[in-house]
Amino acid sequence: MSKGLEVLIIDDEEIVCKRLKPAIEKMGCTVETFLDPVSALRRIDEKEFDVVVTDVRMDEIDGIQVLEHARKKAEHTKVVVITGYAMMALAREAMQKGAFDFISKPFKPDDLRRVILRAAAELGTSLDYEVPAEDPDSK
Amino acid sequence: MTAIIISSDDHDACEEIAAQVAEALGYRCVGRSLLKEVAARHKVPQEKLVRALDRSSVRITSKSRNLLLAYVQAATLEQIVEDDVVCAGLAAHLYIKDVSHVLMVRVLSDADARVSRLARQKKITPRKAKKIVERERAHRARWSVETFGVDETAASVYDMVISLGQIETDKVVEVIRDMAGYRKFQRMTYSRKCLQDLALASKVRAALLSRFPGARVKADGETAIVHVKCSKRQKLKIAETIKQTAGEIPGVSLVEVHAVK
Amino acid sequence: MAIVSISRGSYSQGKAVAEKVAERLGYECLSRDVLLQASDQFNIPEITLEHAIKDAPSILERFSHGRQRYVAYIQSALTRNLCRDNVVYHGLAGHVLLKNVSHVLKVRIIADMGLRVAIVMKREKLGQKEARSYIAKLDSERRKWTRSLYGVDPWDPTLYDLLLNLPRFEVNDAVELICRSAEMKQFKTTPESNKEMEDLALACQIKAAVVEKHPDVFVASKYGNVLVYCTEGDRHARKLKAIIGELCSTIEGVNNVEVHAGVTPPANAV
Repeated sequence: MSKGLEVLIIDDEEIVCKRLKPAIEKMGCTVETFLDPVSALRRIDEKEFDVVVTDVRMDEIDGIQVLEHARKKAEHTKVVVITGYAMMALAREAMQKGAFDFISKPFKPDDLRRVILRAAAELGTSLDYEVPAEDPDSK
Repeated sequence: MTAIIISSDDHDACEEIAAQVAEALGYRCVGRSLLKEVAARHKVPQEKLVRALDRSSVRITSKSRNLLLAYVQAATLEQIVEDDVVCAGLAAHLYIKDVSHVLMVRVLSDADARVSRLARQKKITPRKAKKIVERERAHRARWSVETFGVDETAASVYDMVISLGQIETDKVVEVIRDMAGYRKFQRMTYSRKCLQDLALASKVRAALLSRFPGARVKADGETAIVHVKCSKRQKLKIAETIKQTAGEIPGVSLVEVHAVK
Repeated sequence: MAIVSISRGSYSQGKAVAEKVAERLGYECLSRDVLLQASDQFNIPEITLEHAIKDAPSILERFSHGRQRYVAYIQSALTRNLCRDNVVYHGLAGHVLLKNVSHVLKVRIIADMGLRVAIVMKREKLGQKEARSYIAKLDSERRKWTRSLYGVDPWDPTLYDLLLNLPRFEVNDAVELICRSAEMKQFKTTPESNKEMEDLALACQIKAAVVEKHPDVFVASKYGNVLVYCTEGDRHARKLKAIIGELCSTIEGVNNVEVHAGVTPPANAV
């Protein structure tokens, strides 16, 4: 049986966490969600996650700070930044600071699943899940 | 995963370097050979597409030029969206903006060698040859601004500008090959979306331009957003036509039309 | 070994790149030191020299030749340092002066306005609008300065071997690219290119020595054969020849001196 990934999702919008948690659990991953980034950082200090999915615009702490913190804690952690206010400058900043990927909202769960699969491959884990290939004409 | 756009003031050098970079990386190389397909698809003479790209205004109106370039743009972006590609000779550096995984390189020819070559070919003095080269450069800058709103001779368009004056072709190829592996040029889901949006918008624009020459098109996911100049009276009918035409393009599920004065 | 000349837009992180390149290559890093040396040697306050190379010349200055003198002093100090090789120079008055020396890798670092504004806002404690205006003014001054001195636009990419647009690169990537280029065989010092640098330094040295009294003089040197071009008439040319002849007898490397009056100087004359 393939070992799933330990995934942490941080977003101050409850609906996002509610939607993404089951979508990623379906891939065989263990998922924890946080609405509050401060608590999430404390959790990151307690436990090493394989993947951290974080929103950018949150109160008190923004996603870039989460990215920096997570990467400092464990270099192997793949941090995926998600945001409804995507701009190329922000995306570049995230990449420069070590983000694994950057996704603009709204996105389909399959978009995130593809990223998780890629993260798993880089971490040397294989997940027993297939995402349908993107149809270039339906986008 | 990167897309590399190579532009140059010397067309032959550009194609040669693009081919060598593609080979070094195991990427596809997309160049002027794409024009055959574009010509067949849109039933236009290939020669006209070449002239539109070569900034020649001989026997070609600006309306016609814009339409031809729109066809080229749509076909080129269709290729570039697929990743792991090197593109040259299709003016892609002028219509792809702000996509982080697209590496933009400008290769400058050896100016002195070019002047000498021209002086020999045309049997003129180096001074005259230099003036011709400078005039051509100014013409290209003007053309690129008129056609795409971008000055292709400005360094700010590119990630890197490298000169063949002192640096040899094989070294230039090596440098570009290695840059493709830099973190900042790796594809993100977001940057891929930006490129897909550009590609879709350009397909829609190419479909609309013959009837609506001033149409400006953007895309966001499966939505095409069209801005077109028309009066309030005409808006309904025009919107209907545009929605029908744009709606037939694969990948478009919603069309917004905005009338501008 | 090579000389790396890094031209940079203001607040473009070019200084950081230059320093890292020097560290990586084990080269000396020169910038302000050149001003200090010129200030010492020619007894001109450093601040005066700094203004001469930073601010665009006013209309009055174009007639008074004061700036020309200071620039000549800086160029003399610069080229003397560059004869040592294995140097990274970042500062004004460099890359155009060195364009005919083949072992000089000419690099330009530019950055987009967004990054530069952010840096200025942080460093100079300005608001966004003020930062933008400040940068626009600096850019304009520098372009005017280079145009008035060398007749070229410093933003013209054809002046450089390599031009990098930060922040599309990480600083370390930019440093790596520059270092790799500096190690290419085209930028290795050869006896011929070394002679080119020595000739340039000689020409700058002579110009600096005479510019105060003869501001319209241009100097070139080839294998130590010094050619001086002046606009003044034959009588002054003879006087000038005598002065320069005497001067050159104390300078190593001068084989011959010729003074040409009323002849257009070649493009490589300083």
